[in-house]
Amino acid sequence: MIRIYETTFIVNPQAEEAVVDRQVKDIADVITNSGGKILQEDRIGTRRLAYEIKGLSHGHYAGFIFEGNNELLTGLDRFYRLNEQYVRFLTVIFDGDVEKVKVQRATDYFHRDDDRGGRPDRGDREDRPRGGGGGRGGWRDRDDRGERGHGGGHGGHGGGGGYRGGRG
Amino acid sequence: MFGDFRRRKVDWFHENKIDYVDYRNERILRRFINERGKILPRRITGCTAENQRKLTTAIKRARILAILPFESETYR
Repeated sequence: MIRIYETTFIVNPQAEEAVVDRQVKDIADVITNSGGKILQEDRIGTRRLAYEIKGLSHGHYAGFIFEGNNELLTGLDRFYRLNEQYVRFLTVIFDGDVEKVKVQRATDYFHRDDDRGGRPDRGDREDRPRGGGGGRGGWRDRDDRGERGHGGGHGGHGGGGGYRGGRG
Repeated sequence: MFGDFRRRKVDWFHENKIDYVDYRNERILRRFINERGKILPRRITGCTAENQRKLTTAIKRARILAILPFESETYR
C-alpha cells in the first residue's frame, strides 16, 4: 500500500559539508531507487541534541517527506542501520497536509541553532503554578506521585522480597 | 486553593488553529513539558483529548530524535 511517510535523521555535523550532502543524497537515492517519490526535502540544519548520542552533543538534522510502500521502508531501515554515520533516525506515517505543514514549518520552526530564547511566552499557561524559579517539584509533582502511590501501595513497603514471596 | 475563581482552560492548538502537532517543533513542545521533561497532564495543558493525544505522540517522537530530553535534572 502506498502511503506518505516522513523520515528524519541525524548525521555528524563535524563531517565535511560534502560528506553530509552525500549522506542526505544517499537517503534520497534509497527512496527513489525503491520506487518511492520524494515530496519534500528538509534540511533542518545543525542543532544541539537534548542528550548525547554516541558522544555527540550536536547533530545535523535532515529529512524527507515521501510516498512509498512497505518494502521501501524495510530497505530504508536496513540502509540506516548498516551505515553508522546515521546517528539517529525516525520514520513515521505522515498524517498532515504536505502543503499546510510546509507553511507551518516555514513560519515557526527551530531552524536557528541553539535557540536559547528561554521559555516561550507564558500567556497560555496562566493556570500553572507561578512559583517562579523555585517552582520545581511543586504541587503538581506531588499530585502525580499520589496517583501512582495507590497502585503500588501493596508492594511498596514489602520491597522486592514481598513481591517475590507473593508469586511463589 | 483557587477559591471560587477558576480560569477557563484553553486548548493552545485550538486557539492557534494548528491541526498538525509537529514533533520537530521544539519551541511549541517545550510548553507542554515540565522542568523534569515530563509531559504535562491535560488538566494543566487544557488541551482537548484529541490534541493531547497528538501532543503526547509528538513529544515522544521528539525525544527519540533528541529534540527534547527523556529526562532532565535541571531545566536549561
